Amino acid sequence: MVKKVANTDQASTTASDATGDRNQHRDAKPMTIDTTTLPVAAQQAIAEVIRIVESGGVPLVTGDNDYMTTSEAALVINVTRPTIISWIEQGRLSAHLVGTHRRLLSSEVCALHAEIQSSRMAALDRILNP
Amino acid sequence: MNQKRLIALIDANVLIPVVIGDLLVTLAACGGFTAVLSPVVLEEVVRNQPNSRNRMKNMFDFFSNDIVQILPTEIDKVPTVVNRKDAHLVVAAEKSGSNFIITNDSALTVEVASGDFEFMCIGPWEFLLLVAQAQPYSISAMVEEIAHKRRDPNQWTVDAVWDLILRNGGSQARKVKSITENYFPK
Repeated sequence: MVKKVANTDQASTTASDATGDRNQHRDAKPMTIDTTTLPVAAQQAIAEVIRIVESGGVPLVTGDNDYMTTSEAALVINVTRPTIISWIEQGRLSAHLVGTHRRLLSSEVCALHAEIQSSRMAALDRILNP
Repeated sequence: MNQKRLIALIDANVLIPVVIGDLLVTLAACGGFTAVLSPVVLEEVVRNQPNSRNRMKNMFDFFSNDIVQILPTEIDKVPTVVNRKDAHLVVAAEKSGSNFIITNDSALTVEVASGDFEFMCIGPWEFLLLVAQAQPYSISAMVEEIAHKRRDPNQWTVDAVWDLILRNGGSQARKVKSITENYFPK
């Protein structure tokens, strides 16, 4: 299963790229360590983890079918927990109950994070270049 | 995963000045803290400072997911120690679970300090210093992001962004730079 990697400290994928070549991971070629050949998707995930750690962040590795708490989702998307709860109530995020606690599908949280971060960075571009 | 991020409500008087406003927005974009806004801030700015309308419009586009909705009944419940014009900030800070209100308003700072609130007011440069002490990598990412995103990369180097910060932030900015450089020695 391909794992998704999100940076819980530096939510911007471009923000912390300045420590190295911004396109380095996109040009990755298959490499061999001992006798194990890593698939390109695995290489990219590992490269992303290394990039986040190098820039001082803390990576979160989660599977498509894993679940998160509302607090974890808030940390990934960088909004408050009440915002996550209101999104669940509005149907923007789906959740199921485990006992009395809400759980969210991590793939859905990561997809929403990517969407929000993209619009944030577009707005930031307009703010920094009026 | 048991990490936490600082949550801070940003007052309009902090967002309007270009340098510190840009720094805080970029820091939030880099995950340095979770920023929230009160919707009343936008109305106030558009009414009182029409020249800042476009800037605030872009700010609210950026923060569109982080605006705390406030009911009139909630304003009524704010202790009278807080001036009514600032009650919306207190409600938004409480509802969002904010740790801080970032503001240049010294009267609000005194009012909040004298009330029984779970958050406190802090000046913008003081807040940057706090973040630098807790997570200097976020400050480094903020500076690099500004240098990267500003047009004219020849003019906007990382050093140029630091110069701008130092010119505007006084002794607290110098401490922020010192802490960040000690974390990422050249």
